[in-house]
Amino acid sequence: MKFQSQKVAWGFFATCMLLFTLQIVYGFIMAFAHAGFDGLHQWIPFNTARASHTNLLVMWMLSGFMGAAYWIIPDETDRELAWPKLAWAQLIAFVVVGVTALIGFHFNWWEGRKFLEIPRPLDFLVVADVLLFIANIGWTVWKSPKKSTTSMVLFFGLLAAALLYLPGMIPTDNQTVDSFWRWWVVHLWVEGVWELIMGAILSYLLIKLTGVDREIIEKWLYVIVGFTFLSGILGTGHHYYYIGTPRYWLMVGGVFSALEPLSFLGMAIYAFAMAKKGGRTHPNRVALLWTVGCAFMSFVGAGFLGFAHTIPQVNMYTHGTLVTAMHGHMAFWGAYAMLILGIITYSMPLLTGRKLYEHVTAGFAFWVSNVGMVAMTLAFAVAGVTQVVLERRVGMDFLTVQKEISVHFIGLILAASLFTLGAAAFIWNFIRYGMPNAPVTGVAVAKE
Amino acid sequence: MTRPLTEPPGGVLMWLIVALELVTFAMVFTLIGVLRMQQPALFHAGQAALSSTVGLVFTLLLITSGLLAAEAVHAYRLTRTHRAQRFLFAAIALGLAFVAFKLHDTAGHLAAGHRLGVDDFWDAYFLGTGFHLAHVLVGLVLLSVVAFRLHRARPPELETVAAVALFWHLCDLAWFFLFPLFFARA
Amino acid sequence: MRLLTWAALVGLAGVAVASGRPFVAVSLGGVKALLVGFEFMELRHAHRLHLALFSAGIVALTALLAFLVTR
Repeated sequence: MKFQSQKVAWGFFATCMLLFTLQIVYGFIMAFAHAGFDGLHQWIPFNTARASHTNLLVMWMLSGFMGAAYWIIPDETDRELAWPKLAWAQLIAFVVVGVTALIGFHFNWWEGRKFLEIPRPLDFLVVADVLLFIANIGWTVWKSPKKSTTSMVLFFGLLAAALLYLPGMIPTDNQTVDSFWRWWVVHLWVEGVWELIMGAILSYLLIKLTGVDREIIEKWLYVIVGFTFLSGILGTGHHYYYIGTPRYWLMVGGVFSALEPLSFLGMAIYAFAMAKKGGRTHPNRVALLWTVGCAFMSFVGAGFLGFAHTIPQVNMYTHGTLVTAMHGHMAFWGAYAMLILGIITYSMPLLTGRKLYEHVTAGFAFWVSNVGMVAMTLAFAVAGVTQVVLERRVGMDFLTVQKEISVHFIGLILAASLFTLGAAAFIWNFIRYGMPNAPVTGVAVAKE
Repeated sequence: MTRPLTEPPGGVLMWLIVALELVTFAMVFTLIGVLRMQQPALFHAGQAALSSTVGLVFTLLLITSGLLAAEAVHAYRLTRTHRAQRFLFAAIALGLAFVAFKLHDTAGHLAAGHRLGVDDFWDAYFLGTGFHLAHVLVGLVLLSVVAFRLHRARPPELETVAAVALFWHLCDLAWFFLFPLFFARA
Repeated sequence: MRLLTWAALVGLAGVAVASGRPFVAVSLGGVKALLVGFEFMELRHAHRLHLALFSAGIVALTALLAFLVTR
């Protein structure tokens, strides 16, 4: 690694691995509950498992983004982080808040607002923590004479993500108004500013791994990401279809969210083209695999499967069913989880000085987890379509339908086991890398 | 003169944007067309409140402004910078007139109780023309930025001026289809 | 040529309003779009493939809309 302070990234990545593991555990608890084996119900009821599963996801995504930023920003700005100790303190605070929230969920201390279940007092702590993070990387970028497009896009993406947490805290006692603002956070994160962060990390990885000129990658990748971002803003409308908001949201959401797959397709084609153009010179082949895989799977999961139920006439039937879970799993996996696993795969050899990317577990983790995720998505799709037909077309009762489709969750559990095997290989590999102790080769050291 | 495949007039970047915008507008027009087909009575009633003369004035403002932008590009290609700048300012002036007239017209509609959320016709009208107006505003900003920079020490390249004009023509194109969908009536 | 194109656009707009028939107005809108593309957007000088793609797109859109307004 180039700079001493980049080591803090390892702390965030390790947190990712821990939260990812827990997320999978809660996923299994729910899958078994769906299949009829709800033995833990007394201690972990479904709503608790659901809140834990999704919030753990959000937490490990944020942890991954922060780790990625602490890794990329020193590299791009060519200087140490402004306050390395603050970064470690901020990591500890982040973990403490996360653990408190997770434990709170099990004692019914939660808000019951999908994806934003964290109780209000903890919301303020999250905001404070993220502001410290923004200040740290912001000051690092500001003090450096080198301001690359990638570091600026990463910084502004993270800043906007922090600011967009605030609409979720607007107090209201109206359910529809609350949902309206809640989607500002959730949607404008995952289909808005998180895509800027994704674009920056993707461009960093493509520059490093393909060896194609920075100018070429930065210009065109940011054009594509810009399209995704712009269509995503008005695409928020696809969350406003049948929740009590005015009817014209059907038009706005329908048109703009239908555009989103186009730019995802562009991103996938572009990543493939760059990987091909760059040749096979970089030894860390598996990191390139994750990077290009991320672009491809985000097109399939976020673009294609999202399009599958974003048109109002279709969504009238699929709204809030397992069809959403089908899309959600592959979208998050493809767009964000694979991206974070990609930057981890890229940076670990540099952080620790060990070259485990040639080890068989590295490639195994990629292929097995992806095949597992595709199989999970198919299981969700079958269960979801069955649910839609029985519940929304035939008109059967919700719980009767849940019983009818419980058999599909056996398939889901099998697929998820395969996925877990891949994830376990990744985590095992992460552990074998050990602590960050590679020699530091940066400018600051050379000067001494 | 025929240009190579990699160099469309106005540059690859702006053509990508224009192509995506045209796809978006095509979706908007199709949606309006389908709504019109499904609810003919509603559209008939709604269109009775729109004046085709007003629509024609909008069209004339836009196409004249488009002509001036095209003339500006031509003048700039011949390195007649002053002439190009005058044409750009004239194009901007007509664009501003379009915006002013549009706001005036919208104020009239609002006063008459036509607004977003009344029914599908007015939703389609305000969202469709509003989306177009947003593009006009962006186009005006782009034109102004280029127009004021023509006399700088490092003036914009010809392709930049052509690209901005290209975006401005996109607004004309979109209007050519909004116009018959809303203002033409039997 | 540009001035002639402008005059043609004005004329076509006038005809569209005078006829008052949505089918005619949409079709003339397509013609106007092609004129702007050829002359103002300078596609006349572009690679033939660009010209063909643009024209095909406009013709398809015009046909679709003309079909919808006559239903």
